[in-house]
Amino acid sequence: MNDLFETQREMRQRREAAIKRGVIAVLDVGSYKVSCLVLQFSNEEEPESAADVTMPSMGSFRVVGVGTVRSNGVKFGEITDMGETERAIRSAVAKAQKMALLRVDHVIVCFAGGRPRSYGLSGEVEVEQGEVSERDIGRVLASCEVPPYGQDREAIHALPVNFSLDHRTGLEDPRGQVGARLSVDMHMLTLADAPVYDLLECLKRCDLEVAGLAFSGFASGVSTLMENEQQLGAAIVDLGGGSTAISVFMRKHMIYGDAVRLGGDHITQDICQGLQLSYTDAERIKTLHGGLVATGSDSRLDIEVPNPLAQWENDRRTVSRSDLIGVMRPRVEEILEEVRVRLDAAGFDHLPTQRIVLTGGASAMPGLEELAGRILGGQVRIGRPLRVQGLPHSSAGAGFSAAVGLALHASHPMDECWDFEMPVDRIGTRRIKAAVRWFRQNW
Amino acid sequence: MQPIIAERRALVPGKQTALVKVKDRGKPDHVPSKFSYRMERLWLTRWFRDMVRVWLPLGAVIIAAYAAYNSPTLNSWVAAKVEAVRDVVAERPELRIERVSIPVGSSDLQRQILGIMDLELPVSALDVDLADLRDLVLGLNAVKFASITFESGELEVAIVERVPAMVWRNLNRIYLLDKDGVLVAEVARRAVRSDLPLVVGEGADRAMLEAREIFSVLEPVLGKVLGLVRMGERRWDVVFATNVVKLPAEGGADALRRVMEMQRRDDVLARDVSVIDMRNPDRIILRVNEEAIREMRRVRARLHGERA
Repeated sequence: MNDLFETQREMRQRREAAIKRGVIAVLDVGSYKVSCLVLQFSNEEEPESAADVTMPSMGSFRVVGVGTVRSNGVKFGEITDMGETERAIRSAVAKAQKMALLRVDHVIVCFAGGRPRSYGLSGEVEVEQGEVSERDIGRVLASCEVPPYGQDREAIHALPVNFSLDHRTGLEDPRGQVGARLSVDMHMLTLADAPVYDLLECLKRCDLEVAGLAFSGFASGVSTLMENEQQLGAAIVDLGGGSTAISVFMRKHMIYGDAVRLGGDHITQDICQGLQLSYTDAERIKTLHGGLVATGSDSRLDIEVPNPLAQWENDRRTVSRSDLIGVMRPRVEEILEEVRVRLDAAGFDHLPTQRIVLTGGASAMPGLEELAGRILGGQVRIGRPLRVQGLPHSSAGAGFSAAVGLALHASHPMDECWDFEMPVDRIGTRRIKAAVRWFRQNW
Repeated sequence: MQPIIAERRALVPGKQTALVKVKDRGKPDHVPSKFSYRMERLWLTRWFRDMVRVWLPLGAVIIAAYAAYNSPTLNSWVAAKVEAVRDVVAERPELRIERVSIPVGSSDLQRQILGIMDLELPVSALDVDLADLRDLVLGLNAVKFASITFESGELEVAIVERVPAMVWRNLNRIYLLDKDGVLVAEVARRAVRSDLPLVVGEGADRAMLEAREIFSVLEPVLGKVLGLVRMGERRWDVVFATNVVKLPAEGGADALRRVMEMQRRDDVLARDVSVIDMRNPDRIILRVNEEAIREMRRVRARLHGERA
């Protein structure tokens, strides 16, 4: 566990160094595509925008390079073929560098695999001197009992979500307030360590230094959710190629993260099998003609599909659009029902608002909003990432919400204010000591 | 109507007959090789790019320039090339000097100028230095001012000649001086320019102004004047055939005017007076010949005798 803290502290230092130098790349390693954005930070602060603009600040960075390539070696968001993944990353980074005319050394990377698991932690201490000091906060963070999440897992997110002082709860920052008992609720997300290390190894082979690692559901939420959605509570469902990342935001913090190991690739594979097509043809038909809600006219709409078994040149083959919808819809229903199960397990029902935002490449299917509303309930909308400076239109779609979110996260990291002193009386045990250092240094 | 039997074509293996082109998923995408990826990253590194694009070429150019500057073979080669190009240009007919014309000046002076310029015509204008030529021509005593122009094959030497105004004999040599006392030429004999007045003596050339004034005063008796002699580089003697007028250092011309007045009144120069000494204006001394004195005494004695 110590190693993880060490690596994460190094990552944080590298990220700060890279931002000071002005250039950092974000990399979204997905099952369908690998995309890389090169960010250039300007040193001078941008002038504050007018007060009535409610959009979250987009930071003083500019996207100067974009590279997106097909990803071959990733399944379910996890690396299955190191060589292919390394080549895809290399290719994406090379493209983005070429566009930016800058060399990038540091990357922040996100991925959706690794079977994320969320834990809610809580800790409670007596306030030492009436007023809550930084030392008290350090102590209460250290007092959180870390559950035994397993030897082969690693924590990649951990942030205090809520502070309570005596009977007052919902405090953002209790420093300086008067009270007796300080308690904290924390959210921690762990991933299986093997996929993480595989990914880090791939990046190392590309001569890139990792300056941060994030769960793509978190990154998508940062870029896609409106500020009031983040504040009041919303679920973000990132329908990716190989896996669907789910995260729940509340009070601007991620309070739950999970992933369903199903995605757009599975729909394509269903089309392959159901309509006897090659994978590329199925992908093409899905993106051009796919849909989820059949209407009467769809059964009359014939889609011409390539026929590899054609005997002569006019040996054509067509399927009707309603056939295609009939193949796609059960799989999407399955994915959404799985998402529903996860959200129910997380207690999403008990949140004050039931907002659900769908994003990711697969969210572009027509009719998804209607279908998702029927299965997930509540208010569903399709989310597109926030516009950031310099991002080309072709890379501003829903498929890039994780990458854009990482860029926003890099410019406004949320882990800065937690540089608290390590409580002296807790140094004794190695485990707690490591945890404290981890709280001080990491997300 | 459609034909019932369609012609069946043999499928060429590998050729796609489907309307939608099917991509082979097994074929890998184009990916930069690890080496080219690293090279590209290296190229995008600022210091490396600056070095390759600026400093290395600059250094190479500097080293090459230094080597070329120090290489004797290259230097001689360049010099030969430059010479060849220069020769080609110099061969142009526009630059050929075919004749030299000296519009003014005596034939003697013209010969002298041609001799001193020493041009083997035709010659290219690039091979002669007009400024040097001008200095050469100006170096001639008889030339007061010279300008040399070259136009359409003709080198024109425009000169202003020094006109000899006097003959100056000094230390057994005879020179011609212009009116400013500048030496024009040396002549063998006085008789060459017997039309010019003669001055003699050390420093005579530096007192030309006064000499000219004296000669102008001497105008009525010019035929009797042998010449002026500069005495002690200070004052003039006017030498006549039978007598000498000694002029003072200051106001010599005025003193001479008095002598001329005496001449006009008494024809003093025709008298038997060997020296008229005007050096002291208050006291004019006439040196009379011995014969004349005796004659005078005799005449006086006779006059006294008659009276007595």
